[in-house]
Amino acid sequence: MNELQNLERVQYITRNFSALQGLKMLPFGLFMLALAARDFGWGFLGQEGDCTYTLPLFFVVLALVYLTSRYYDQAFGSVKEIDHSTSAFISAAYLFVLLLVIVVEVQLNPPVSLVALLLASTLLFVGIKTQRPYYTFFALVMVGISFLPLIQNTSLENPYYGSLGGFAKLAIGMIWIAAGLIDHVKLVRIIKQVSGGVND
Amino acid sequence: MIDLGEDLSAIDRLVHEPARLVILTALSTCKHADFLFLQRLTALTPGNLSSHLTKLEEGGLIWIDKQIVGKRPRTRVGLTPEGRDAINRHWQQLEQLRARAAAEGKNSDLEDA
Repeated sequence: MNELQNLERVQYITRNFSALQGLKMLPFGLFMLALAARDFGWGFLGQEGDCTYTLPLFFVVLALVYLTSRYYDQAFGSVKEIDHSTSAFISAAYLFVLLLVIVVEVQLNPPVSLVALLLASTLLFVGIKTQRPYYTFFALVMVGISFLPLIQNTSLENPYYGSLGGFAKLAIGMIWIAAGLIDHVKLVRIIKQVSGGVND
Repeated sequence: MIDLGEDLSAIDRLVHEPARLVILTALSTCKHADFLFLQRLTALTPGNLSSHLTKLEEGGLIWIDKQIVGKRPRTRVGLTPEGRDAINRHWQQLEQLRARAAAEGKNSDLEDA
């Protein structure tokens, strides 16, 4: 039965190989932390709406993601998933929906953040689909964040700016970093278990 | 005349070796994987892994595509339809064994009671 368990691990790691490359999330997480610091008024990255530093920083983030991708290719190899093109299409459609929801939220200022709810449901869905139960916790944090606009109900100001916005970005950044690190550790641990099982 | 039973047992011998079973199982859940991924998964030396892959290729269970990308060799490996059938069949056998073991466990529990 150990053999069967090991083979199930092989299936899991191959099926979710790109999803478990968590270090790719770190640059995005750090970027969100930098934006949070700006919203808290620490003067880092200039003022809100000032792209002098944020735009170049975003390109640094993209370069870091590319380098991390290369690291995974060179350290762990590469896998072409069966539903690769479908995943790309779903990701593109999801980004479109996310942008749409952001626009709606900025225009209507609903009492509960639709963006945070969308992110929470995404985390929950991805966690269930890829058997990563810790994503449920991150989804719950995002649900909590979705209620931030209620705290600021006297103002129609977008809750994702100012100190509350800083808090939301801080939480999102922390979630990305934590999820990324846990995913990476999981990837390394399962590969070790599988290779250990082969050579027992 | 081809002896189908002998052929199947030969395929099973080819499939059942632990490292080869891991390779085939990994390939059954993706379009293709590269040499390094399979090496990380099996922790075999490059020579050992090459030897297993050659046996699987000779058995018609996998295809191997070697390319030079930016002066570096890149080897991609994928399952052939025959390989997919063989690994699916093997999985069915494993599932049956698991079901039988579970049933026997239940029966012995009843007998104990």
